Amino acid sequence: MSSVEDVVDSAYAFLLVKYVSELEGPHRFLVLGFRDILNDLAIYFRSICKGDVIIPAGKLQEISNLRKTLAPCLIALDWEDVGKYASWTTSFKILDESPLRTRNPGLRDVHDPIDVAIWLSERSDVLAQVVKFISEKLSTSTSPERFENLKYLLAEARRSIQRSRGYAEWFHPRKILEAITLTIHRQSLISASDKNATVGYFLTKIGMEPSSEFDDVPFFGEQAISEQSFKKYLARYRKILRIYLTSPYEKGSGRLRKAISILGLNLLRRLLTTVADKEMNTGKKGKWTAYFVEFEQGKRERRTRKRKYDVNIYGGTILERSPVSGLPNRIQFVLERSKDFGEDNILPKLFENELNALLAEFRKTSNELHFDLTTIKMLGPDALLLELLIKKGEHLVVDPYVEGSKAPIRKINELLSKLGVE
Amino acid sequence: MHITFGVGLRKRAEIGTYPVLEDLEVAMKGKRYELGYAFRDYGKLALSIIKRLEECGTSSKAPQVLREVQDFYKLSDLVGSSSRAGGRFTQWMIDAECPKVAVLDIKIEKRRKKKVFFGPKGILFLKAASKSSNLAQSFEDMVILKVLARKIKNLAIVLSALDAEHSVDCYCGRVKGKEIRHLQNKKTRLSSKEVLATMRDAYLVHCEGSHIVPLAMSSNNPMVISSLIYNEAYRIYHALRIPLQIWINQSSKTSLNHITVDPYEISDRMPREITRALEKLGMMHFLHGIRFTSIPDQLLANLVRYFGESVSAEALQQQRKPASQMPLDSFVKAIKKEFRILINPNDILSFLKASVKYGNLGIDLQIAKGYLISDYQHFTERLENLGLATIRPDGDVMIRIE
Repeated sequence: MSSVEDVVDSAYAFLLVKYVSELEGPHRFLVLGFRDILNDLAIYFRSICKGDVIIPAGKLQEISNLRKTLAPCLIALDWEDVGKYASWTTSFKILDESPLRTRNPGLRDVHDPIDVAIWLSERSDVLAQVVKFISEKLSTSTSPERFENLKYLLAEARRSIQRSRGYAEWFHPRKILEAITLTIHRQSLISASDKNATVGYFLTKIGMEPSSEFDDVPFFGEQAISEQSFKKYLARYRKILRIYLTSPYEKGSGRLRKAISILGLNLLRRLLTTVADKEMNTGKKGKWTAYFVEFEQGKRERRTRKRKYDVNIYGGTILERSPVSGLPNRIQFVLERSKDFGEDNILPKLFENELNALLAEFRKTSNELHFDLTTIKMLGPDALLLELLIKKGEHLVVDPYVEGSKAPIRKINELLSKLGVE
Repeated sequence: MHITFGVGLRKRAEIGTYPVLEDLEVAMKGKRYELGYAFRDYGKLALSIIKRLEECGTSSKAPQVLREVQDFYKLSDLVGSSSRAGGRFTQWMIDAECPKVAVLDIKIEKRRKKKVFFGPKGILFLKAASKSSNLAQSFEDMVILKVLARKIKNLAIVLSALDAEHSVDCYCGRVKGKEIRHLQNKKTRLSSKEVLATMRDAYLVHCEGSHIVPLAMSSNNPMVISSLIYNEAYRIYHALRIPLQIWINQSSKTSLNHITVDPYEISDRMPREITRALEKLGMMHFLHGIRFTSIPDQLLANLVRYFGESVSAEALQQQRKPASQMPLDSFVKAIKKEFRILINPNDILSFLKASVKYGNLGIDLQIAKGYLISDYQHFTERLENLGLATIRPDGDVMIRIE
């Protein structure tokens, strides 16, 4: 069995040659880039299109010879050498490794990886061939036969690429092939009934953090995710990246450091709300209800809009990022108490043991806890340093980012009015 | 290697007096690399430089072009806008930073009197600026860009040292204020783990960006790469300061003189000033929620002129005829070396491979490469459209030298 990387290389070359072979003849291409898969390209081009890969030496004679014949050929150039062969671009079609940002209407015969991705998403027969090719290369006993999930993903990819043809990095064909290979490889390692080769696993391999609802759905299985839910997820995911990945790091509204601090605060508020709600449903007011009321103090203060317990955005730091997407997954933030609201202070209690108790209590209500909160130290009597770890098993899911982007305001207000707190 | 820092006192009405971290410096192999900035308002830098030269009586030794700048300011002098010229930050720029980047040259004469001369880099900047339509502005921009480049280089030195040593001693060098005098020469230790250096080197990554219609902002997009690298540099600055500030807060508590401690006043003044300077130069762009660094047209023209001047000066020195065109590659290399901005995809990729834990930032180099190449092609197109470069019939891109 060859290594996964080799399989991806040859599958990519196979897919490119398949794409080239279906274009109108003669199959004479300038190949810009693709240096690492050139050998594989040569093998499949010879067997499918009956032509050769040529690495030009730049001699005049060679050029005129190449122009005279009609034999299929792939002329391999490095991207920096393109200039030397500028006049060739009029005589041959072009297969460019770098995705073109805008389509130049004058250059009709230029093809890039995103063209290949769109073409692949429209052709389920080719998809089946590619999956079979990969399974054979990996020498797995059976090749997967159900591609519903893959088709949904590719269809959605196509829609978004066509909406605005620009950068579509996740749906780069190489990434897709790599993810398919890894998923099949994983499935072959474990028994078919095991749920490890899931849609979530596939998504992490194309560089996206999955949502927990996809996390237990086998990728090549009978159960399929719904097209709508994927669409919704994709829109949500972009928003998350915008807030937590690419926004600037300085303080100021909507900036990264503020966003991560508020993420921590909102998750804490959500925990308290859920636990207090459960406690109130049992009919008696207990410890958690008291904590909840104390923690939510001051939010209705119209004049200042100040809360008693709030985060200090100076103190937010990112300690670690997810290797899949670069989203921050280990965060420290500072929770502080304002003295304007009376003497009670729950921060030392949270620091001692109550935060752990809260998390334990929450786990009793629901298993869906995809993050962990720990207290680090008291920075002073009124400031507590906390650490937020977003992780579920081996990879993270985006649910905490979604939940943490907004506080459960409606639920909080409902509970407060039930308790008669103004 | 060790870090030295100062502590000052600050007063705020609701809180009282509290200690804050000041000037951060790294000492290594007998040299000092400061991480301090004052880019807030440098006023009319060119005019202030002229004034400084006049004070020392050395303005007659400066090149002719300086007189043109002087003339340029005469009109605005009349309107009275020169009052902004000599602020505290401008003074810092002239006395502390310009000599370090060879724009000015300070010689100490008798009775510790400083005399300011024009430096070799300053002459090149002036000559380049004289060919632009707004010479004072061009000159100022180039000086600030050069000063910024030095700061980024300092950060790079610190990062590589931190990476090599795992932990570093930090000394409290200067203390301002009686209440915290006991902090003088006290020592703490900072581990590289706390700073979490994802980078061993520091550069800015140029990205064309503005033509891109971003569809999916994955980490392989050049805009995102540029923004992640800048954010990461910013984050490391911040991470360097947090443990030190916390240490200062805890150590000053033991003081007999009671002072209030603001436990989380962790100022981010320093790196923010870099951002502001980059914004002033027009290098920071904010598009579709992503902030990235990109060289604007005006600055690009200035850089090309400066490159032309430095190439011609070198040719004159070697008694050769100055070239009228130079390959794009040598220009891009010069920008990388002198201003610490990466443009060529090969440079960006090798920087990511060699000095960045790019896996932690979610970057896949094989995919990113194609997008970086597209971006570079747009950069060459822009150079051609601005009339700064010509594309030869054989396809080579050549920078024009006036």
